[in-house]
Amino acid sequence: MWRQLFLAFLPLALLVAIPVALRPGSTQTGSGLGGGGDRVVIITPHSESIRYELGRAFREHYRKRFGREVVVEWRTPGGTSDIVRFIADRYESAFKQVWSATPGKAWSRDIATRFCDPRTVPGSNVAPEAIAARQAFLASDAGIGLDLFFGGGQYDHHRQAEKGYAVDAGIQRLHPDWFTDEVMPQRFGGELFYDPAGRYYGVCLSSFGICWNRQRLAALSDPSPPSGWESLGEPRFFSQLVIADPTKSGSVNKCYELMVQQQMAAALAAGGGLDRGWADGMNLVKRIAANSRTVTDSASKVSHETATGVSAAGICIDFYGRSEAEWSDFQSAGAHRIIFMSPTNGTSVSADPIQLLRGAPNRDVAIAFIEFVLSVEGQKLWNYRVKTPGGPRQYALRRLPIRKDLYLPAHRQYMSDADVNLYESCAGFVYHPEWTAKYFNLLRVVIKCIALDTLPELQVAWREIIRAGGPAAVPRAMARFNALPFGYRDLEACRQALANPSARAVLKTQREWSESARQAYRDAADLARAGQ
Amino acid sequence: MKPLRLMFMLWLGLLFVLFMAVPLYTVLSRGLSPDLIAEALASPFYREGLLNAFKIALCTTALVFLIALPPALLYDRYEFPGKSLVNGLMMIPMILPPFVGALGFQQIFGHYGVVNTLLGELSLGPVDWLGGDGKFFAVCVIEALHLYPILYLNVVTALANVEPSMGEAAQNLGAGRWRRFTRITLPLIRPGLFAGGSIVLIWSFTELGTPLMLGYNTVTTVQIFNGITELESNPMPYALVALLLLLSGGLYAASRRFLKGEGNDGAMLMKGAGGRLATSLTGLRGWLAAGVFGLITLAAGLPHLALVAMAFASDWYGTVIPSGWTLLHFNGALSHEIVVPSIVNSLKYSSLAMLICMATGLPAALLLVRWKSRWTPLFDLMIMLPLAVPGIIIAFGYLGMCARYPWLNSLFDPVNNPTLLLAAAYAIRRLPYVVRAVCAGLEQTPVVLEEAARNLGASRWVTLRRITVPLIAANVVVGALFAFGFSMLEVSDSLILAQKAAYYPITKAIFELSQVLGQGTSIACAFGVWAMLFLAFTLGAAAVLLGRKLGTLFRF
Repeated sequence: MWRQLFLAFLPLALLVAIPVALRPGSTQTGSGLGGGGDRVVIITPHSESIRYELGRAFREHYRKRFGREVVVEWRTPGGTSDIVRFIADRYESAFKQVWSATPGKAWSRDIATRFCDPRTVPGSNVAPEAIAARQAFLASDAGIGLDLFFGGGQYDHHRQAEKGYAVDAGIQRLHPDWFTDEVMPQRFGGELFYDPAGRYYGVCLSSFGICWNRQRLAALSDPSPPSGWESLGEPRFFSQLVIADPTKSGSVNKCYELMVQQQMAAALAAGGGLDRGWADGMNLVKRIAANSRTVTDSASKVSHETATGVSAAGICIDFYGRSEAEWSDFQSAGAHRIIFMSPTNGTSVSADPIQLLRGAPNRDVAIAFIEFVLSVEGQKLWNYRVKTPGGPRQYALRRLPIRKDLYLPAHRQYMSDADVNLYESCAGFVYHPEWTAKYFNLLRVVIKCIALDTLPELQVAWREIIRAGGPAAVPRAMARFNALPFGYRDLEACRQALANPSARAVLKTQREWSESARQAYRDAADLARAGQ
Repeated sequence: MKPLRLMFMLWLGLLFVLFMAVPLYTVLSRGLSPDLIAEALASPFYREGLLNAFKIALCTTALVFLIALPPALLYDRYEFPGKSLVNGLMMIPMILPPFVGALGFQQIFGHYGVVNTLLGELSLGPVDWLGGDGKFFAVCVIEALHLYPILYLNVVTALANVEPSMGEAAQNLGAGRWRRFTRITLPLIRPGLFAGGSIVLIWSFTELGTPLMLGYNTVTTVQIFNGITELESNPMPYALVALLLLLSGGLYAASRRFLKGEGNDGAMLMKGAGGRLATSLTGLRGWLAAGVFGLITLAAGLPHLALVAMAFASDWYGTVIPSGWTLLHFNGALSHEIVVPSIVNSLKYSSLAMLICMATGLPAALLLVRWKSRWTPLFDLMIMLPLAVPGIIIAFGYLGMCARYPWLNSLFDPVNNPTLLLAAAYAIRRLPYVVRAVCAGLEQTPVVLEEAARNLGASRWVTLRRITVPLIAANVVVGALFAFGFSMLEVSDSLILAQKAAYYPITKAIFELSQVLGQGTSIACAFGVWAMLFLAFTLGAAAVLLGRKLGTLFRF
């Protein structure tokens, strides 16, 4: 019997012994697995590498500054969409308890919808009780057990702030010298880097670009590298691209918005109007989708698929592209399989923010964390090489710091991307929020309706046009291919249509857009086959 | 009605209400309405999704029958070299971890993967195996290669319970091999066919991971996933979930009619009455028989082999085997601080889930087979329902119900300690496997044996303990293996409910490691290999402990 037990459990015991023997000592942890001491609870879509480095560094910083230990407790319920939903659910539940406990107040579906709606203001066409609930929420300290929301894109942080889920962390008052144009401008290239009311602060910069696989590209009919977004819409990339779904990620949708803005700027410069630019931009997005082999649910998969040669090229966020290129070079001993570049004047710079949540249970520690990530000490972690003085210990994060003073020679010598300064390289692109910011959500819905839900028909039409000799050879087919369900001047009406309280009406509208696009693609395919 | 049975029915009802109905209601009440269902049915996009889901289910189930039945018959009828080994290897798909398994497929079938590299050496162009028009068949084949152990184990168990004298009598009367198979064997193993076939049918109808991995997006489960993970509120997923539930119920009813038949009087299933000696296959025939198993195992195990190679590869790009080897990824993975806690957590959650499944599944099977009442069809459908609901929906439902009902939050607290909730979530989704496996055993065990024991003065409890359970022990073991193994590899609940690193199970830890920039996929592969070996050794330990009993359990 003992022999049987020994035979049964020896392999298991040996297997379990390996990770037990390799696990780090307590000083090397960064993921908040310890207990006791002060605490900060952060909900984030950031990867394990970022959580590890910032958690570890903040613990050391906190020990030095306050002489106490701190536990950084990361919460990871999923991506940005999951987090946004999670926060909304929790605040509804938390405020419901507060409101229901108030004498004479009853919870209702209307209050559940209105208390977090920034349009619920005195004078609006809303029930007085809903207005009172909104004001009570904004004055309350209703909390959800979380201190900070970190990462996920400026758009979602701004919406969270407008809803009232985020509050002023007071960093501008604590460090007014940080919030100058020389250190951290409030706006750059049309993009907002921090909220004037202090409800969110950008901590690092992002831009967008194209990554491509050199070997796959060399096998194409035209092996020249893509020079800009328009290159990705060329017929040579048919079934060669990997793109990310804009409905899943605010960052990805931002990239498509920038593509459209670039076309709008070009149209204006050429004497056309915003209408023309909008149409050109949307049709570029359609051609890129038509050229896709894969539409992924995660932005991080784009660079990996390109590096492994599954796809020839893809649109990706800068640090994903750079990190994958670094790892690929390491694996291949410098073969440069994957190249990343940002299109000239094709991308703006956006900031990835952090915000203090309403009712934060560890408010002081949370503010200390925000101060840390915005300080020079914290900013070094984003792009310093591993094991450089003040840099990360294990993972090179390959993100770019938001503080301009980190781009001085004294810091550049330690940076992974010493030759990159988005404040310079992206200065030529100006983002015009008045053109498309209001329609950010509409944009991703339209892309879903006319490019993703209709992808099979879109790709058949594009394939037939290519087979017929390209867009110039079949102008009628191309005209049908380029048909859009509405123009730029109809955007406001369409935005209102999506805000219809009837879910069925909204879905019916989206279905009509999809059906109209689907029919256009079928017509285009038929016309292309007929050589028209 | 006997008080004990009534109590158990109430317990089963309570379990279902708490861990299925309430979370489902929490999610669906956000936006489900007849209008939305009408809109879903009016949309060609969503109709096509439902049709594709149906086609995948039928095609995958047919493939599973083709893959699993022949080796099950070979195992039952013949002795051949390496029989025990190849039988064990048939379980390989059960130990393939999620996420990184997909990477293994891409390494084999990707543009610079093994197959295309070999084709290149033969001056043949690369083929896009996982893209284009081949995606539908790729989905079906990959799912079939993952699911066949479910049918295989159930059929092997069912075959072991068939009284061989029936077949011998038919042979003596001149019936040929095919006639004996179709007129004797197949009807007698129908419970096993139903137990495995129904699970495969419903699972492949509601499977998300494989079509998502291959980018086959025009199928209902992916449409639900895309809808629910959209940044803006989209109520359509809830209508699709309702339709999926309805259609799954219909599919289950159809499979019950087609696979199980009108009833099973269990005639001539006299366990212990006598045994058939398996025919020895010698020489080439013996090796051919082993070869059938080997071929299936090789096809199913290719991603496992690729995963192991990727975990040790310093570089594997455009070559048949890796161009260099390293232990760097294992060091990066196994030394990470989240790994050891995740192993302990997974063992805790899966063991608890298995215990809940066994404690609930055995009485539930008795309820469906022995203690029949007018509520039996309802309980049957209820038990199978967890298979029909996408895991991500239920996971969000658990979070939502704890947010909405504070008393549930104080009981389960998904944020500060999700242990109980995760164990319950795993258990409710694995319960169908246990119940179906045990039901198959009960249906093949003649009730006259229990009646005889009662006539001789044994109490119901003694009869259950001394007669019934020993006779269905193999089925119970099979159910327990499924419950434990699939709980260890559960994805949706793990990702959504385990929010703090201290509570990560293995699957969440693999996912988090895969997100590390650059090296992430390699270290996730390394931890995936470790998880695979851990599960294999655990199942192996169970096999060693059961020893000869395991073989006899599957006989009589």
